[in-house]
Amino acid sequence: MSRIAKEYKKIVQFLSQDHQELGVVSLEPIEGDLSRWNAVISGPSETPYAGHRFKLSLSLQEDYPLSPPRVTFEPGTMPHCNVDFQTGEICLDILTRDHWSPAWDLLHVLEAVVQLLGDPVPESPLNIDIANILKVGDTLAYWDLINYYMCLPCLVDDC
Amino acid sequence: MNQRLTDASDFAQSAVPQLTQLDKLLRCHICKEFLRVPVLTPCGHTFCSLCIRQYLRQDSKCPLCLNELRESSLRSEFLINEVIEVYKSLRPNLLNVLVTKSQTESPLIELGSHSDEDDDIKIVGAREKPSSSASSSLSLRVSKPPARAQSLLKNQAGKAKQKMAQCPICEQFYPIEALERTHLDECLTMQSLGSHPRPAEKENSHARKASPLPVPQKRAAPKPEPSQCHEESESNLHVDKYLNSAATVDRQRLPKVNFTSMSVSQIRQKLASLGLPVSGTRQNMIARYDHYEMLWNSNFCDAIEPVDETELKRQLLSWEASRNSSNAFGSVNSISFIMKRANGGKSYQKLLSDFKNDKFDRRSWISLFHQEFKELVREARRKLVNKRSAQALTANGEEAFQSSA
Repeated sequence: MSRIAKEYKKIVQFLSQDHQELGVVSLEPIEGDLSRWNAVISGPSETPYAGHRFKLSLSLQEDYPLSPPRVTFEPGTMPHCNVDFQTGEICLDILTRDHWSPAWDLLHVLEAVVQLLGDPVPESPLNIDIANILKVGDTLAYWDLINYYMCLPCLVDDC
Repeated sequence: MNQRLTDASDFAQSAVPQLTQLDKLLRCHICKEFLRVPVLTPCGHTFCSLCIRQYLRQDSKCPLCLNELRESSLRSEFLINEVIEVYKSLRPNLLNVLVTKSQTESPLIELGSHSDEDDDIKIVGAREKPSSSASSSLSLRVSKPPARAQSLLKNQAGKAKQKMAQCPICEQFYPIEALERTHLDECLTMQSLGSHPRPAEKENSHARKASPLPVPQKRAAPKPEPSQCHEESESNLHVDKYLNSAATVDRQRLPKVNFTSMSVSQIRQKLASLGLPVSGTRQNMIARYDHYEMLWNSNFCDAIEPVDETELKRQLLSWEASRNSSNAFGSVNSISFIMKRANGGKSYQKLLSDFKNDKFDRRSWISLFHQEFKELVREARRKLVNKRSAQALTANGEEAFQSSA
């Protein structure tokens, strides 16, 4: 686990330098346990998510970095075609065992998640409604639907 | 292993922040430590031997470029290994000097205020100030030749004041005191043994003979001072190690074994033939062999200085112990069972979980097992006494036997 301790040091250093352009707002271990982390990312600009912040939880397994971290959004907060709205589960190739590389770290993962918000992949959906709208190319409906989700009561603190 | 967590960002606040890059490049991308036994992939990337072997077990591709990669195509990189060894030994000094300097005074200001002087000399002066207090070894390394020669001259001048005399046996010059006290005896014994005095001394005295006025000569060909001698031999150690390295395979690479078709007794046999413990379930034994195979191949195929088999077995044991403590927390061995009863078990478990890291609370561990430790010491003492008396008895018996014969 010395690797994750090193990452922690790097993350603290990184966040203190204020890299807003990556969209990573905060990333810290839960109660000093380096195998469970909470993160907050901000929605990238020129997407319907711009101006909102999203909470994620990351958990590392025993053999990290040989196995990928498990990353989920806070349940019921993320309307995205590759995210299960109910559970927060994310469908992202680099988070699967087959595509993960131990050369990546937690900041890479969050970066990839932020990118996913800007580049939804409707071919492998977990949220079928949004994926269908994207497939037919109805951009207006896509933006409005997400904006509608954003104003749901559970997200009200972000509005 | 490093006690402190080191990271490339340590240099970010130093006088030379560019060193961050160097520091980063010398680290393994899997464990983020400095490369231990670095190996090169065909795609040109370098990892710790153990890290990459462990990863290739589950996925045969390079973690950096995702190209296909097989364990057999890894090649060791002796040069990088030695570069890192040198860098690692240098790093604390480097940090010490560079960080304290940037905190006390900015070198840029110094340079600006004496802009009419030579830059080289400036840098030497700026570096020597903090290092003289922090570490003298580094100042020698970074200072420029003129400064080195000067300090040499000073030392040389001091030595020249001593009275020299020729040794009647080896006909070389030594300070009178040293000659009378030790050298004559040394020379005589050496001669009687048929060998010559130490070559280092010989060289030194030759130089003195050639130049009775050593000052101008020394400038042309400075002899290394004793401290530098030491330094040089140390830095040469890594150079020599690299030059003498060769990919020798004096031990056979351990093969990968397909255990699926083997019975438990066959697996047990396989482990026993390597001298490994045969306890545990089938799964345990397979994992044990796999890890040992990795340790073995990394050690005997990649390492520049392979360690002994017994050391490998020790590593295997500690790996297994750490795995078991984290995986099967509920596994009850006798001690933990006793402790659970006596102390509610919680503090023991908590201590045990920290056993291998820096947080380990040595004092409460001692107090927790105070009784047991005492018992063990008592037992050991008793055994020692028993053994002694037994020896005495047998010695007596032998004597008696001899006298009777």
